[in-house]
This record gives sequence, structure tokens and C-alpha cells, in this order.
Amino acid sequence: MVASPEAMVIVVTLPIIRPSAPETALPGFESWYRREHPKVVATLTWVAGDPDVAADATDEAFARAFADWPRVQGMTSPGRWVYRVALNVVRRRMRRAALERRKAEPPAELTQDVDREIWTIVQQLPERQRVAIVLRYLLDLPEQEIAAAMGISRGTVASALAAARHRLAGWLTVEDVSGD
Amino acid sequence: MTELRQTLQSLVERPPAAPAPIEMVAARGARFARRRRRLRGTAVVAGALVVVLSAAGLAVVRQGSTPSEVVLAGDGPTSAGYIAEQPGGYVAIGTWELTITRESEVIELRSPSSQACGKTGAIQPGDQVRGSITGPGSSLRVGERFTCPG
Repeated sequence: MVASPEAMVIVVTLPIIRPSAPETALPGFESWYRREHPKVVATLTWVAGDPDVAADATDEAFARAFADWPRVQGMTSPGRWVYRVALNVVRRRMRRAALERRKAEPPAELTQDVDREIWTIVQQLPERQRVAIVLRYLLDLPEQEIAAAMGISRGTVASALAAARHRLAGWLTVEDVSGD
Repeated sequence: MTELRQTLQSLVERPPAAPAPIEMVAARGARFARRRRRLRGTAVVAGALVVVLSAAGLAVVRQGSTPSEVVLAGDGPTSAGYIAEQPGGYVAIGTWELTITRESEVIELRSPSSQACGKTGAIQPGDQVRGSITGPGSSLRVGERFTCPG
């Protein structure tokens, strides 16, 4: 026999649980975040060619670092981890927004800050070469660390850098071309 | 001529976006952590179901929301399983086996007689039920509103 619906009414009083504000005071996070943020957002702006996409991907990467801070903080280089995450995020955003159709001109808000010719050439590089060249000359990363951040082999990084240097030869110093 | 390095690094000195307030980073991080926990939970449950059902090698049937019965084993499949969403019972004829797993308890019923009946309540919501028939002309039905004679 199945009981009637009225007979099955159960009243349960639940304690009110107020959502607590997220914990913001993780030891070491905020100073690291403020130190690394300008470099990450600048790197991603060159890679994405779009400051808005770069800012959002940067925020996403740091939010993930915050969520996993005890583990990330214990890494040899938390900075490299955040670049790897941020580059993956920006690649997904770029695919979604079809940003691969590169803009030759720098966005209006950057025209005062970047050399127009260099912007155009960098944006017209294939993605792998563009990422490699930005990590090399903006962050001064050695090939081994570029490979780790991009998730590719060191040899592939070396060939991407060589091809990009060929295109950018006029803007490289002798030290840039010979040293790594 | 402006060097490449100098131009690239110019955006570090004058970044196109300021760091978001730490509270916003924390809130976004908390959302990401919650989403990840949900995805992991779903993956674990899905994995567990695949393991259980594969190991049993059973056909899967789902109990509907309207009072009805499910032919767990009969003319078609000789064995099947489901996870109960509502209280139920069973009627069995012939030679058959019925296993009800309820949390850590396992209830096994095997042809106690050629005809057997468990009234509504024998199966509880959340029970993992599997059954099979082992002889010709046998059948095993489960579902709601089972009243047993006598």
C-alpha cells in the first residue's frame, strides 16, 4: 500500500548557513600576485593581441593559483606554472574568439606604449613563434623554461625562435641573436 | 630603431590592465575550486557506475516516476539491474536470484519457492537491485505497489 502524499509530508528545520566571504589572506599569495601580474598580463597581451582577452586570462590563471595555492607555492617556480596555465587559457579564448585573424594595428589603448611596426610583425608570427619570442625577450626565459611553459620540446622551441628571429632580425641586438 | 626587447618590456612597465582586487581573485578562485570539485565528484560517480555495471554484466533499466513495475528478468534479458528511486517490491516465479545492496548490507534471495513475493518496502530508495532468472518459464518483476497474497 502506498501512503497518500499528505501523509508523507515531513517538515525539516535546517540551520541557516550564511555563505562566508572567501578567504583572501593566503600567506605569500598577494605579494606574489602583485609582483607577477604586470609581467603576465604584458606577456599575454603580446600573445593574444588583445588586452581584454589578456586581462581575463591573467585573472583566470591567478584565480586558479589562489584555489591551489598551497600546492603552487610549493613548486620550484610558481611563476612558470602560472604562465603555463595562462597560456592555455588564452589559447582557448583565442580559438573561441577566432582571434587568429590577427590585427595588424595595435589596439588604441596601446598605441602610445608599443612600437607599431614591431607590434605588427609580432602579431603576424605563427602562434608558436610568437609565444616563444615573447617568453624569450619579454621574460628573459631560457629555452628550457620556454619549453616547459609551452609544453613542447626544447628543440621545437629552438627552431621556433630561429624562425622568429629571422623575421625580426632588424630589431634584435647582436646579444639577442647570439645569447640564450 | 627601437629594440624588440625594449618594446616587448614596455608593456610590463605600463601594463594594459591593473591587478584585480584580491577579493575578486579569491572569489573567482573559490568558484573554480567548486566547479572542479563538482566535476571530480561526477567523474567518480560515473566511474563507479561503469565499474559496478560492467562487473555485473547486466542490462540496465530505470524505474519510472509513475507507479509501475519493471521486468527485471523475464522473456527478454535473463538478468538486469537498477538503482531504486522509490520503495518497491518484487514478484518472482520459477527459479531466480535477487540481490539487494543497501549501503553495506547485501540481501540475497534465491528461489525460496517457485513463487515468491516481497511487498512494497522490500526494496528501498537507493538500493542497488539486480536479479536474474535461471530456468525456463521463470520471471522476476520488481517495482511499486506489490501486495502479496495472504
